[in-house]
Amino acid sequence: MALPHGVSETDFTNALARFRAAVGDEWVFSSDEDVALYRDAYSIYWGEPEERVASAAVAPETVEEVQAVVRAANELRIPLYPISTGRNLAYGGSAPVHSGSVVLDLKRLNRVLEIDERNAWALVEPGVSYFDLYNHIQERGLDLWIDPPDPGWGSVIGNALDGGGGWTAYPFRDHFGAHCGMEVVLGDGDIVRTGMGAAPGTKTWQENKWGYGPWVDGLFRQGNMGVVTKMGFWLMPRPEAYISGTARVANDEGAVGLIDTLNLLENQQMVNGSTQLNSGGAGGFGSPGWSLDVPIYGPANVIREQLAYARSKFEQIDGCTFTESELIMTQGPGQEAPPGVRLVNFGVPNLSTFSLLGRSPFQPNPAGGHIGFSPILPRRGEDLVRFRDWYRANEAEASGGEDLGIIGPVFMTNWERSLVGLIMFPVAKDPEYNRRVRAAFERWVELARVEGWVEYRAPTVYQDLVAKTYSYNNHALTRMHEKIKDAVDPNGIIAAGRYGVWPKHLRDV
Amino acid sequence: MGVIYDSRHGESRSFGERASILNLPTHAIEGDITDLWQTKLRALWKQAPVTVAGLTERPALFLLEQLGWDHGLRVVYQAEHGLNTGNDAEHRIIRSARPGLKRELDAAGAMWPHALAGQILTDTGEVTSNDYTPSGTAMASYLREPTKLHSWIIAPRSTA
Repeated sequence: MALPHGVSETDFTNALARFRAAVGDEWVFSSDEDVALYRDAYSIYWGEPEERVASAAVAPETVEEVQAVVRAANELRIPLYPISTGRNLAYGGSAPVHSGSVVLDLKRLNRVLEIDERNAWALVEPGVSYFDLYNHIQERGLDLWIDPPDPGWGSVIGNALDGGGGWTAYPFRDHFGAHCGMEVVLGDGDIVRTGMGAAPGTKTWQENKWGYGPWVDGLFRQGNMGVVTKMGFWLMPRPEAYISGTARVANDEGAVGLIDTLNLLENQQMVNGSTQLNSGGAGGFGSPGWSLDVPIYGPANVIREQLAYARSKFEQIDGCTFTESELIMTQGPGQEAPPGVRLVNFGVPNLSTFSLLGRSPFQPNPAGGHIGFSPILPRRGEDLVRFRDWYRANEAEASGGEDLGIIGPVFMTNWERSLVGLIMFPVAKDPEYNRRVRAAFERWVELARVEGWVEYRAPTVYQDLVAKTYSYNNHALTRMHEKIKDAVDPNGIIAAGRYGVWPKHLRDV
Repeated sequence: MGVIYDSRHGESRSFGERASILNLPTHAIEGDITDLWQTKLRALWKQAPVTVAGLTERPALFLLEQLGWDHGLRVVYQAEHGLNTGNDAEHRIIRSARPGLKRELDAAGAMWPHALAGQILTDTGEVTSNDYTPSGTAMASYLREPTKLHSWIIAPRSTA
């Protein structure tokens, strides 16, 4: 067992006893075989001294139990690392950023507390998975969609708080952006409700995001200022229909018009679905050029017109061709999704992605796990081409001249207004291989930083590295985060180090 | 105990057929476990940590093991079966309390799925180990290898 830094064995033993008193013996895990379940299967430091590991885990069932655990931890200075369902694979899984932390496993807080069909929102606890929320809606025959990521076994709250996204319409697929109001247990056990939830008696906690005064919800996104125990989400009323079109350009010059047109159509709210950009034009993958799928959700007669408008805009690009798919009517509550569709685009959570991945011509010897490097890029065709060429130019050097099985770049257009240039790094159980992958990852972070491309999300072991790339004015943002951390959680017990924010007593360790 | 098999593989279908003969409830998958999880296991495990066994590709085990952890279940038996071009297979026992299992499977030749079902579904207590640490599959890879099947038992830790 890895004891938390600076914590005596006596204090740790006392803390576990306090946790047991709060949640019951069976929900405190300290044996090696139980704590092993909280290892990060995709740790790039697997089996090495630097692997981030927990010392124990505690799983409360109620907010009151969370408070009791947090109060005990605060008194005894025990670092806690909250997780929701622990499915954050590729971003650290359920392992803490700071080794020796006690994982605060919130999977038993798994209640869908309220759903309002008339104004399309839900209030949930952290242990509610996308499956849970979907099933809850289906069982009640509500005409609402959720927005599941790929895959759908994770926590609705956990995914939102880590900066995750899904595959239906904007704004719902920006999971943090689609939240409305939260409840948080602070480091001293106090409870805060944000937005309208701070005013007793209001009925609008999930209907108005802003409330009154400074808006603090952002402190809890990729943050460590408290333990989020409830969160509201705006849901999508089931759209009547779905339609999609594909625009193709034959060369890199066409990418400029392609992306500008996409931006126009999204900013006009003519295209609301999760668009998909692929390298390769009319000749398919590997051919010169680019293709872009533009899905639209809404009433059938409206989206037909929207797609026709989109087509007219794309066809103004020199050499652009545009094809339309069949319009698909969506199914009401309790009915199966239309056959042959990608389920996540229709709000249906699933695990199929796991059964699809394996050896491929692009990845003949896959390692198993992966971590991602996901820099944000300007949404312009010139930058798209520039990033691709930059990747190709640096690929061999960054990998030390070896073929490490790194995949990239995959361009994600699912966030509005910006692009993500995703590079996937395989993770294995071989320390020597992982060492080379780490060197390549760190090299890419530095190469990209020089170009002004920095990440929006990172695996736990690289959260410090990426935080350092947000360095304007001598790291003023990090310094501000630290001031807030010191004020809100002075003993620094909540998620030490998460996204590069360390409490005072661990900053120089 | 419920039994999961992957209907895309003849070996796995044979295993499932044998399970049916043993009067065990079976569920066919085609790689993806979503339907199994949504229509059966989710509700079943919410009520009680019921033992399940299977002969599937690796991703199904990867997912079911991790989903089982939340219900106090662990992988207590696991073997890997490399599918050769002939009818036999290369068996590698990864976690089992039964010392002679590989020999018995080797001896069964092409009938190994039947032999496997006979060994692990009828003498479950003899085959399961007391090793409750996460399996190498859960901690290593979700990627499919169509030329390999995994047999496994996921059971409650306390009674395994």
